[in-house]
Amino acid sequence: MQFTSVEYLAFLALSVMVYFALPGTKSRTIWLLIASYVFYISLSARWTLALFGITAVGYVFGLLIERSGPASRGAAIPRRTRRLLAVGIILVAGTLFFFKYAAFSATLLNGALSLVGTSARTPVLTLALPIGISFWTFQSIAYLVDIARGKLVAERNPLRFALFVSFFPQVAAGPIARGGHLLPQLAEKHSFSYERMRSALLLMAWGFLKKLLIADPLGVMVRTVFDKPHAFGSDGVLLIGAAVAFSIQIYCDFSAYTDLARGAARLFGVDLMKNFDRPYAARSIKEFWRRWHMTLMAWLKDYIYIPLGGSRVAAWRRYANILAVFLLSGLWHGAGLTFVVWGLLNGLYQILGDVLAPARAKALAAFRIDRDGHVHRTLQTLTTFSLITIAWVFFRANTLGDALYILPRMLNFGPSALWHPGTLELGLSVPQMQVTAIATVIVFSAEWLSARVSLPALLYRQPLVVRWFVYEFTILAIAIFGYYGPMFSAADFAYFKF
Amino acid sequence: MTSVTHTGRFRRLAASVAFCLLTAALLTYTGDVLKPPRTGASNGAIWSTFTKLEPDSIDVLFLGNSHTFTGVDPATLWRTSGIPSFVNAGPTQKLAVTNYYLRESLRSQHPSVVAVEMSSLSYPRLKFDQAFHDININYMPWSAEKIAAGIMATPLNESVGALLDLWTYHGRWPDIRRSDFNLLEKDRGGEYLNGFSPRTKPKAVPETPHTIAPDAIAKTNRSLEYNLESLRQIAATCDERGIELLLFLTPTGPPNDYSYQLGRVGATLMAEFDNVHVLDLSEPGAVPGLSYTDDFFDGGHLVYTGAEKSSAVLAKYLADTYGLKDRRGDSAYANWSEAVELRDAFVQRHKEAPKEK
Repeated sequence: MQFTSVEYLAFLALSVMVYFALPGTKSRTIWLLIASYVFYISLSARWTLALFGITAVGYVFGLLIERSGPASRGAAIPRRTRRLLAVGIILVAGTLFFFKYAAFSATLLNGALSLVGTSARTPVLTLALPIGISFWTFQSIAYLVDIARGKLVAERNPLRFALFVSFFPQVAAGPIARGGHLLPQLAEKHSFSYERMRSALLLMAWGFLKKLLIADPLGVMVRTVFDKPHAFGSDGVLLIGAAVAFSIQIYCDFSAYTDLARGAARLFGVDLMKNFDRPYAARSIKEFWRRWHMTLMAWLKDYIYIPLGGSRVAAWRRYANILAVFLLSGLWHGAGLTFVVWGLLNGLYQILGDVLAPARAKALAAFRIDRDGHVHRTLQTLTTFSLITIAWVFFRANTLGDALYILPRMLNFGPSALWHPGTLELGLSVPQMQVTAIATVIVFSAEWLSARVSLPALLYRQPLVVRWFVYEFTILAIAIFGYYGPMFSAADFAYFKF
Repeated sequence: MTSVTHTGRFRRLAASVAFCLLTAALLTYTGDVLKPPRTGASNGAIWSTFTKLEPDSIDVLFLGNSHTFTGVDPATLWRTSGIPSFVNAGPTQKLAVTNYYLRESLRSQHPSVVAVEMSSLSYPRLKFDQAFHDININYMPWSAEKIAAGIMATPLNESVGALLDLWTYHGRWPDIRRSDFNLLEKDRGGEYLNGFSPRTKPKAVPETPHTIAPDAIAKTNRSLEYNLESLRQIAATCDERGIELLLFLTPTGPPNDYSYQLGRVGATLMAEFDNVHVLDLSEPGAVPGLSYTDDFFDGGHLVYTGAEKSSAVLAKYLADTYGLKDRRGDSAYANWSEAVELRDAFVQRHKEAPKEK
């Protein structure tokens, strides 16, 4: 059941109707839990046991850790609690490692063994990844740590805790919720609200627009180039175009998923955490990572970076911490060298940005450049986008070799097929490319505007005719120009595989 | 205070319902615009032509798949025995869908005979050609039968495409023309063919001996069980309405398993229903003068010359077996002779065209 399928929409509508028809929080929790498991089974029936297992571990260890005695305010976690926490984390992270990294580790080990000339080999166990495992394992780890730190009371109600782990709008690809934020909302009885429904549906429509009009069509073009980079090696402009297209695709895909997830949750009265804040408007790599996949970066900051010492340590330790965080971020996204390099490159960007900050400040002063002037800000934004786009090449390339083939060839400037789109065989017709381009301009313009004014609020203030025109226009644009149905091969959300 | 709240709630509810209705209307209209035109000269599933027939104006209704709309020529039936007939068949149509085609057709027509072409007996239950299946259902008029065909005769994950035109055809937007917006006119034309889709470029079919592999029989038997159930429903519908049911095969190039299947299913249904007859025109020699060199365009489909020969045999069989009246000279059927002339001119134009459409 894809998020963009009619089956999902029917399932969601039914879930919402039954939810509000039920009288109490208990029956609603049971209903949402049933719906969540039905949804998960439709996505990944084979590994539902893994979800059950993580739920059981999280629930039991949450109670055990609390009983053992969490840290008092500001103090360290008691030793016995720390041991219990370690066991809980090992069980949860071990499940993640088993499914996601066992094959990758065995491959690396075999490579090392062959380098030293040994014929011994570790068996490589290739398993299908349970959908969303990286999200719900991280969510469960955060839950355990928060209890141990004394920031959260363990959930007594096993059904509510199971719903916390498997809540269907977010089980496949986040946002990574925190117990303190989501559990109280799941315990609350939400009454039906017209305004909330309207804002939820608007958010979902926005997600559909980004996914079906931008991400999926761009994905076809990106796939054509990245799956056969050697066919396009002489056309640097086209390679740059493909890399930029991927930057837009990955943002529209993941943020669309987040909008659909947050919209669906809002229908039940639950507000999930924000995951994106116009990341490509960032003026530095550091700022980009504060705006991109915010719940993951907050998780890495709270549970990795700060425990490692954060910024309150010597510069070299801080840089090592940054690299560790980004290495983990890369590995979290995928068990592969391309993801490792992508993560490390982002870490290096951040360290270089830090190291070069004084020199940059001196240069700005020397040339009397206004730090907050339009030109400087635009240049910073463009530079950040370019650096991020270069890093995305590693993220998207099928192999490290492909990425290293593509990057230098981006400088092969010359006559490019990109200027003659009619001759391009990238899987999209020229009218489809034009619609995608128009939709991209609309989405990014709207997001730029949204920093200055609340667009939904502005829309709600308009007369009925204007509002309905906007709604119907959006629905028809998605229905007509969307990349779905039998003439197209609809793609899953990219982050479902993480 | 309370009454204001109630009024407000009612207004919101009314507005929400109105918005949903407006959205549904817009999506339906857009789907109709984007749906490719399907005239009487298209390859099957030509409901717009069928619904234009005078009510109760045909004596024989032909149903089935592409073998039917390429192999049965109503003009020949008229010319030979004065039988008014119509071919309401769809490409690669499953008998489960044919069952709903019959029910929907009987809303406006009450033929004496329903003739179902049986080469679709070999279609397996789970294998669907989605594009053709969608065509077969998309073009049905909105009715309980259409919805039932989209749900009961369609795999669950394909029901959306079968029932929602916009889902299936929205990708056609770059090819849209002004004429697509004229919903009353876009499906006009070719009505005089009465469901026949004449092919004019023959291709020789190899004459190899007819043999059936044992595993093919086993596979066929499984499909037969599934299709037999739809046929039972078709036979029952005809039985209830006093309509004769003819199960027939158009000629096919050998080898084929169709005769074997028809024999099995025909015997079963004849034992269960009194109104069932069987006619196998795929047996060598069943259609006099049929040429495997000049009358086929592939192993299963006839060109118009083959359809004429085969339809002449069908016409004689229908007139003799069911005592159907010769309607030539009946003023109510005056336009049928004109339709035959138009059909001949259509075939002539296509014969002269360099390529088959």
